[in-house]
Amino acid sequence: MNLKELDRLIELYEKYIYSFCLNLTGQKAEADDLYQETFLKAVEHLEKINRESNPKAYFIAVAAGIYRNNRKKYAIRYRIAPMEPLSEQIPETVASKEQSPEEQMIVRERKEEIKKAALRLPEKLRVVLYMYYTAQMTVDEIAGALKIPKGTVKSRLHKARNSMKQILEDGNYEIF
Amino acid sequence: MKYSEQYEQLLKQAFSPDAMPDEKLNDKIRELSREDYVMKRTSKKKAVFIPLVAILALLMSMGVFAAWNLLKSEKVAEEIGDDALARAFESDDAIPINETKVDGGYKVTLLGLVSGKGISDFSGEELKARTYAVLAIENEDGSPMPDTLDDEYGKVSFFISPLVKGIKPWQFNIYYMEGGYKEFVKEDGILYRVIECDSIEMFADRGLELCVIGNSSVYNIDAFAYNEQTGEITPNEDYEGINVVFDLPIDEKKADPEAAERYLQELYAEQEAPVEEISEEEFAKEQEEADRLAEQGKEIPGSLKELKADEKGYVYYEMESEEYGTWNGEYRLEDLFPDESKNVRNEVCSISEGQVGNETRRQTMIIQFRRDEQGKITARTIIVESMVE
Repeated sequence: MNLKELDRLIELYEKYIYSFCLNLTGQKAEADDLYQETFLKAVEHLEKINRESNPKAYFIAVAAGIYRNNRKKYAIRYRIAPMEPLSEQIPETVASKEQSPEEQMIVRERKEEIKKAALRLPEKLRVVLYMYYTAQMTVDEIAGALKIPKGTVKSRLHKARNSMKQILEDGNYEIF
Repeated sequence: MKYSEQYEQLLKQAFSPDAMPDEKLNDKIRELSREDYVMKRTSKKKAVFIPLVAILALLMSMGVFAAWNLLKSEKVAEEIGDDALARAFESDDAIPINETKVDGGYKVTLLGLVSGKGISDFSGEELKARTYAVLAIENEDGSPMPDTLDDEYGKVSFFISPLVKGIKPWQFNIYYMEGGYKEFVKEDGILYRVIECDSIEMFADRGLELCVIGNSSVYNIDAFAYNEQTGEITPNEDYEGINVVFDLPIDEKKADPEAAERYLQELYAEQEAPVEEISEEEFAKEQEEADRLAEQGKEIPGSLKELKADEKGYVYYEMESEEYGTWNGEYRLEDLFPDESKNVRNEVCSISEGQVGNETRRQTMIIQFRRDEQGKITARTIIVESMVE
């Protein structure tokens, strides 16, 4: 793989990798760091990517690994600089143009509550959750990236969904 | 819509990948990557080692020379971006070896090995102990090994695996021990490979070896003779390519015969487990579906290959595409074309799904095998894009 191909990988996967980094770290500055480190680490191993049939899963696995090995750093920074609401950092692409401003606001609020609920989950559940929904990886791909059995991935996803529902209900937040 | 479906929809919305990095950030990555790339490429041209090697080679034995000339195991681990493994190779648990064997036009040095739990940055959440070994491979004539960015790279393959004395090597090798490897070629043209697999320490009381087989990416029974009585393997002199064995000096005290036996029993049970059979009706239905899908797909350019069956009646198909990745597999002709009535066989080999906006798209990869009237076998890969309803 040459650097032209790296450009192509950025074009193809930047939104998945960056969104994954942003959800995982909780703030833009940290997401930028993690995203950059992920690409640079991947570049060190161009030949590895070349052999990977699934570059997106490889990048996400690298990002998750860097995050795991540096979580203390991220946790410290998190305490020093409290997180801004994620929705303020994300462009409005999800809210439909057909929705009224009020409806759009409700959608944004719902998303915000769900994201907050996710931040209260144990890291193991969060990583799988973001791999599945944000990076849009299959259960097989997640199992391969984390080197855990497929059954464990399914069980973590199940736990994450249920725990979040519980957190939302405990906070008297009505999903619908 | 059911509550659970609504909730699922909400989760998809909340976590959808709708954040993009600043273009400046991507530019910075491109710039830093280019610098790194240029540095790696240009440094290749420096041939500072050659005169020094020529002088020292006269003065030193091969073993000492190899140890001096090559990177240390920890440095190799650093080069593959695995700092935790580098630390493990610096620890007292590591076993430095630095032994060189020359055969088949190559010079292979086993630099060292280390075993333990969670000793790699890439361990994932794996709790199992793993063994890592570092090797250096050089051309015997001193010419550089092909760089990983070179077209020649990978044309000569090496199978490197630990073996346990007394266990048939074709039944038990790195392939069955969840093994893998990473490798790179340093600017001086030396290839370094780090292999990893489930920890072999538990077998230490049986005697451990490490085989290197050239011109093969799997264990090749032609490379060694296995003595059923003694359980030892010896290289076959007639083998075309490198075939050498290193002794692995792992302390016998580290053996865990019970765990070893359990490991083997689980492996044998897995190997002997009956393949899940499907009824003829289900099989026919699957075939019809694959045929129907194949008609809707498009051929991946460059994927069409003519296949030659080996003496056991197997054909090997390999496809590499920048866009769709790689695929390879071995197929038995008898399974592909069980009778004379059908000369086209479609095999679904992978299905992946992804979200595009609100739609779920499915990509199915099919290998289509054809047999013509003269018995010539060809295979091509077809990609079918569809929407999930």
